[in-house]
Amino acid sequence: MTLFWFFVFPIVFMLIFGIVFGRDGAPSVFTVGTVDEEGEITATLGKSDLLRVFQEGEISSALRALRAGKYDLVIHIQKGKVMLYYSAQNAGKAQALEGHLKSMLLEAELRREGRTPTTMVEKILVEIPHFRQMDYFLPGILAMALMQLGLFGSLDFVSLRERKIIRHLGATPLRRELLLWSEIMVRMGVSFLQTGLIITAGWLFFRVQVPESPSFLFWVLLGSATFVSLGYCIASFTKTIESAEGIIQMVQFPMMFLSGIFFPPEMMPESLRLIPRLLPLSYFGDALRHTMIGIPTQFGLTNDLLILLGWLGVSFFLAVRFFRWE
Amino acid sequence: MWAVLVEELRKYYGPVKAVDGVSFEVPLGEVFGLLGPNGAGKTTTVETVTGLLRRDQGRVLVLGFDPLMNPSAVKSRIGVQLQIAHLFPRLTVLETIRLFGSFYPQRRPAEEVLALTGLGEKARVFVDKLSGGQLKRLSVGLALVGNVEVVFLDEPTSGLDPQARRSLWEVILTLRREGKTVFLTTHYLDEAEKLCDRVAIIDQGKIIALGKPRDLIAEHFVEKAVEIPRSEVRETNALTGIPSITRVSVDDEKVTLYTLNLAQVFVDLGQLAERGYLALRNIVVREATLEDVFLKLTGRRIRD
Repeated sequence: MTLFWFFVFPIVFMLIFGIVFGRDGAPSVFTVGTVDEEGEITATLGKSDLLRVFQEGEISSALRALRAGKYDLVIHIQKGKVMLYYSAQNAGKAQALEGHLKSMLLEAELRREGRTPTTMVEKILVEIPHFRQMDYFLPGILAMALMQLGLFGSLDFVSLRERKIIRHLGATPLRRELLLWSEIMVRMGVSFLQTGLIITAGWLFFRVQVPESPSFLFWVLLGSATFVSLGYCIASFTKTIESAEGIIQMVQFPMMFLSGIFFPPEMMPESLRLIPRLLPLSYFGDALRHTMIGIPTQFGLTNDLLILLGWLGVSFFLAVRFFRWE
Repeated sequence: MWAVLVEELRKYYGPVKAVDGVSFEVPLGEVFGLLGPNGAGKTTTVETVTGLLRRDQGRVLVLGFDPLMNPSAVKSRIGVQLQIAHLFPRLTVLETIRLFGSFYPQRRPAEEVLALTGLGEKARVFVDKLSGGQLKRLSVGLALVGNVEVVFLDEPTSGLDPQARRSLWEVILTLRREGKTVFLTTHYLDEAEKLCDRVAIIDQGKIIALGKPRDLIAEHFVEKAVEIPRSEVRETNALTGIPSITRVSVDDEKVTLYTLNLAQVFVDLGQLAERGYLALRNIVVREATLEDVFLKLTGRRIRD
């Protein structure tokens, strides 16, 4: 029953995310209010695809509309001076528009003096495969699911230990290492099953491409092994199933949201950007995105490999060193 | 070769001396009983001998092997029933028997184990749905499933109803007929007397008597025992100093007198009754038992 939820949860997660964020976002359009006595600049701005320009008569009414959320930005154009008003959540847009305005004004000024800019900027489109939100998202879900299977998988062992079943088995010729390895093998098997399930669901519902490169399977194996190992490492340092569960939640929950498996780390505030680099899930997600879908890697596959191997090695060593059978 | 050889075995838990210098040998084919009250060290002895617990001191050999040095050589040839069974709750009885059977190089057919333990009707029931007595019988069955040479049973009959107890005695007698060695612990003295070739009486971590039940009784008692309910004796002091009575022991339930001369005791008791010291309505005369031996050696009853 527990296993059932482990299987189903990521699929449900995928469906919800897919439905909410699945649409390809149109390029964002800036809504701008202008107060412009001459109207010349406003007319030029109005030609841009990125801007929806509304002319306001008074700066005070324009600012009121900005506060009410009607405008992203307000431009107040006076002689020799252009003021750009914005609210904190639109800081990024203000920055973009500032550059745009400056170059426009410069160009206009040059033209007024009868000169044309000597250096032209030309835009050339380079074809990179187009990735939808879902393409980015699916490997993230897979990474999350395998992390959870690995971490929570150790709880079964903790429960056998707590219920003294392992102790009872200790009276039989069964070697307990064999018991542990069979647990681990089952976990790995379940991980591959889960992988198949998520990929199938992703293709069925969202036409996310099915990975072709066999190296993808290697990464599934490496990632699962890392998190299974981390799970047993935590199990070694806890006594009861409740404490093990608590610690695992404490580990997996921040990882789920801070590893950049659901959105690019650029979307995070600057001050938090270091965190994904500390979490193994970031590297696992990065490698899966690349090997499953072909999304360019963020850290480089070699780094992904080395860091995951590092986590695997250290947690495996600690799990073995501090293992508790009873 | 001994099935089990134990020399100066010690196991301490901090200041508590659970097993404090125990020595005994069990020859192959014997049914050996370790007898004692709760907390005497029976379970600790079984668990150190079978290698489930590490001993602090002493020597243990099971079928010639040290269970700590050579656990696989020992464990594949012994079956252990633990006092409290800890089994997979979501396996059925039959699945559990098959699973445990798969751990051993030789095994009894699952059907035979079910028949021996009387669990045939429960074969498809989940372990967590069994009653305490059924779980205990399953646990005994798991000690037999390996068709092993030595079977350790730790309180196999405690918590069983009288009928289940008796059918378990049959299992032990069957094992004896098969030539298996059985090491069992119990606090039922009648059980030990009936089943065991030899018993060791253990109290507070030490063995206080060891031998065949008959020999132990004969060694400590040539007397007969006379029991009078405690409520019918008004003055226990009146019983001391009567020459025909060799020993008197008193507990909450009854007063037990031991005597070599039954006829004289009845005369003496009759006189006491006439004088109003006691009543003679529910008097019982019996042979001395292991219970009396334990009482004599420790001053306590075994089930206090």
